[in-house]
Amino acid sequence: MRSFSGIAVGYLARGADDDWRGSIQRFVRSYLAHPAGVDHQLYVIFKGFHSKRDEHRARTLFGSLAYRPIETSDDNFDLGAYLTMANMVDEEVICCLNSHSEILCDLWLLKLTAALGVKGAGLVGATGSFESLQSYNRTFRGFPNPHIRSNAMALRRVDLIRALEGRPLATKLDLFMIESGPTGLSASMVAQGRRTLVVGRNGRFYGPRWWPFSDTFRQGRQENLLVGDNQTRMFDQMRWPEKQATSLKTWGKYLQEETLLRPPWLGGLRS
Amino acid sequence: MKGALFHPGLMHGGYSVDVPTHSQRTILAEPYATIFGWSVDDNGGRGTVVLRIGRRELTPDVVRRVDVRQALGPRVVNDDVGFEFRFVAPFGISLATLIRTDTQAQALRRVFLVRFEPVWLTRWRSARRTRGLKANEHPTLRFSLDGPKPTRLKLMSQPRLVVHGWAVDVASLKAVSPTVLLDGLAQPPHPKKRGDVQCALASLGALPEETGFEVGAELSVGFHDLDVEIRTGDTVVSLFKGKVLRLPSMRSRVHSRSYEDWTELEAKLHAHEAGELGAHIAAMLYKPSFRILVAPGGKGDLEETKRSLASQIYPVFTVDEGSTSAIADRTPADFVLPLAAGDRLHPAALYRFADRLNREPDLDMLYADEDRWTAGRRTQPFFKPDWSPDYLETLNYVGAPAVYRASVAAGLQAFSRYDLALKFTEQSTRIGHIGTVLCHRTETSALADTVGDIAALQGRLRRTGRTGHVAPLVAGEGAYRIKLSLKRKPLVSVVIPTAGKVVRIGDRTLDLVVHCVEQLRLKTSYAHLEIIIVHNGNLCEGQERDLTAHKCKLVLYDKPIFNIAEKLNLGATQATGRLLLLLNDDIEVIDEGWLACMIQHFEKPHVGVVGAKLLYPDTRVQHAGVVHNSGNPDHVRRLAPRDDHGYFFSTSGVRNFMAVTGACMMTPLAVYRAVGGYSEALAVSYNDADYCMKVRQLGRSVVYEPAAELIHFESVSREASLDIGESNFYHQRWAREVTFDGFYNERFLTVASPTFEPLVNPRRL
Repeated sequence: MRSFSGIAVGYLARGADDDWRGSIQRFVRSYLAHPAGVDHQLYVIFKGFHSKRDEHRARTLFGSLAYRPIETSDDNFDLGAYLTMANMVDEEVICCLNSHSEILCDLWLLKLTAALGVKGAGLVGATGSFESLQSYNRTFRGFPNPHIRSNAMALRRVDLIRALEGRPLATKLDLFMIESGPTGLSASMVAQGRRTLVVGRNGRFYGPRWWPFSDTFRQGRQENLLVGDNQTRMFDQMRWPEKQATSLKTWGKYLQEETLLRPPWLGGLRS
Repeated sequence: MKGALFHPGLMHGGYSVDVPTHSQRTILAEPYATIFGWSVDDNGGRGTVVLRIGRRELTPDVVRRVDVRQALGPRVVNDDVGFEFRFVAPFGISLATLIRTDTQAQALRRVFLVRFEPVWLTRWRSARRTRGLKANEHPTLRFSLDGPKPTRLKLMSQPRLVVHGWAVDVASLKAVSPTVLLDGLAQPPHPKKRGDVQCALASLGALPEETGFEVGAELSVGFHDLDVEIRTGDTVVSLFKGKVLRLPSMRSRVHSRSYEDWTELEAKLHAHEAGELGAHIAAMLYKPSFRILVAPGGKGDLEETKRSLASQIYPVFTVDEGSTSAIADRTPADFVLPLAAGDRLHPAALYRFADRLNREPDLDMLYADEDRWTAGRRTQPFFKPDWSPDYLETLNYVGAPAVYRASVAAGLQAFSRYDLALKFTEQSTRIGHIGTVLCHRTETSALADTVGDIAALQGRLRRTGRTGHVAPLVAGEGAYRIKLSLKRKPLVSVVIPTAGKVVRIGDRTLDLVVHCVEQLRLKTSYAHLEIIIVHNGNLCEGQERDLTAHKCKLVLYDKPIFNIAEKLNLGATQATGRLLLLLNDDIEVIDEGWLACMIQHFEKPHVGVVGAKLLYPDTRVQHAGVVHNSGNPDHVRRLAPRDDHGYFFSTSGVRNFMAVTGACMMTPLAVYRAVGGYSEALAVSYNDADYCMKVRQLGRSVVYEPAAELIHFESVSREASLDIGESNFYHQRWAREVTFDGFYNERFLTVASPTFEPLVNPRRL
């Protein structure tokens, strides 16, 4: 493991969200409650506010929290905002937190970046998924399609710029392509021979084969989550049958332990 | 003899379910359903079968089946081997389980019954308009809903529903996004490219390419409301308004396995995971140190224990020989782990503790599941419940392995492991449970020390300000029963909702409510009671006279629609006692000391609800605690014999559960009021389990008391039914809590029915 020359945490404050006040308050509360465990610079990316007045109100919600503001337009989704930020800062590592993020444990950033310091690690995140969007668009790889979800992910700034620079970011499909597409962030890391890791609250780094046993995204009570978001909260609130269907959609047969004993290429898990 | 079948799992007997055939679901458009077939027991006689639907249990009509006798020859002694159940199916979706009871209870067939009223179909307004191309329908909107297909009721067996189509506003030449509401919740539509629409409407102007929309949603089994509409300003155009019914899947691709099979798989998995765990240990930010105290024992046993310690993959530990009294001595460590000579720790045991402590560093105590090491094999797994303070007074269920924070344990001067568990948990309630078997114990290492255990429990009583008697439940088994001398004798307000029914039970005619009150006044030793009868205004003169003679308060419930929660809440408003006993009128007392047994638990400040052991009139178990199975509350160990001890004394000993039945439930009146009583949105079902969940949210425990034994003529006073709306309400309200039942391991114990028998089920979440 190695240390980095600067870590930037980018939190997206999105004014176009219905409940942007609640989202910001939730994030600030959790950020103050849980020490990151490692020196970093917090950037808040203000985006999509209907008026300057709203944006000003949003800034006041951060209270005395030390942060550097970044303003960007609302026409390029969250990944576009992270790219804007990556081009403006000079820290070596960037941790991207979307507007719904809620930090759930102490030392969360130390755990995330420690995983990124592991030999060969290219992209780390609090959550990963095997879900495939092939039914929406045939370009996507079929199930299982292991990818790190773009909320609460950390990677080197140069990797983020390389992966996003020049790519269309205008539609939701563009966004999905980058998150889980065949040339997206996770797939391109794997193509370079680098690892994509999910990091649990216990500090363990899970390779894709172990994701369904990480007790994180859409598994049981999700008790090992490092950072939560609207999707993880929604899963918590689902009724049992929906929870089961969602878990199955995300992990499929890989929820069963015996799949671990098969060689990955036989199980359809290629990374 | 249609469908005759000798079940391969039966040695001699056999059965056939002729109707329904192998279909696992039956859709009914009328109330009556029929299930028939035949069953032959091991001796060639009539096999006994019952049909369970929800909480109802039905016995069949006997049918002569000459064809069976002819076909099976001399093996079959009688003709009367046929059975037929004709019954009223509950409205909505229910599970009917056909159970053979002449041998060990065995489920023969499970059938999902889906009952609906045909009149519904005509009432459902399917205001669906899948085409909106005519200008006079809307001045500027053009749209098409391509799916779901136009049917009044959409039936689905797969979980995924896709709503798709396109919509444009030809005035602004922009795509319009519809609102898709599934069960009232908005589902965000994803834009889709629709070149065909662009071409077709080219004459109207340059439309964007993405005029399409698509919404995908996962549906649970049952009915769902689907609304698709386009809102433009004040105008709402409805594209679809109807219902979707998702039916249960007929196939289960993953099967359950035995514990022995599981241990083989688990060993392979451990070997497979070792490298991953090693990397985690190297990267751990917090490496807790463990001091393992191995109690003196035989040389061979000690060596076995030490060998298992030598194979630990987590390296930060020391080993000392000594008993729990030596905890304060010698090597400092973060946690101490006492073991008996002969206990074998799983190679990943210390790692699992360290892993959990990295996740939850505030925990002071952690325990894990265990099994027995017998003749070189792992057997008798004990899948323990989550922290259960009242169960700990029945037996040392924490057992081994358990780690205790050394700084707390050091001053306790515990003389045994049971004493340590009791004393420690009086100091800290930051206690975690790892639901994995991490210790394999031998008969000798798990041997109970009855004298020491009783001394530990008596110490517990002294320290918690209680006086009473501790006696073994069964000699030498390490399980105990505490009978307290009550410090106080609080007034108990008994609330009995009644419909004033007189019923025939066996050869007796019972006036239920009068009989129930007589049981309380004449057959119950605890006399400090006030009895509140909540009636519907239809008590006869004789009933009123008898109840008044027994000094009952009569409270009139005059709402036209049955709501048991409202009735109980109304009764509770009249209560003045410190404790409230909610009691069905269809019960009968067996032992006069039952009420005192329930009251004694309220001498512990953490107890919120106490439930009783209820028996069917034939004395088989009807209620011994409520567990959750796929989020549904269900009675555990139903139909077990009265003297059954259950899984590690879960039936014969005091134990914690997530819920107990409301048929006989005691709770402090202050707690009842603090949580707002029963939830009146749950008129018929789930209200008792819901109440327990609310009380648990206050941090209080729910206790099952087996010494409070009553006969319960279940659902004699009212037909059992299940309301889908109430089911949905309960599931939604307690979505997170019922994900897993902390008091019943759904993964490693039987779930249909929850009989508390080890069975490794496929992982579902």
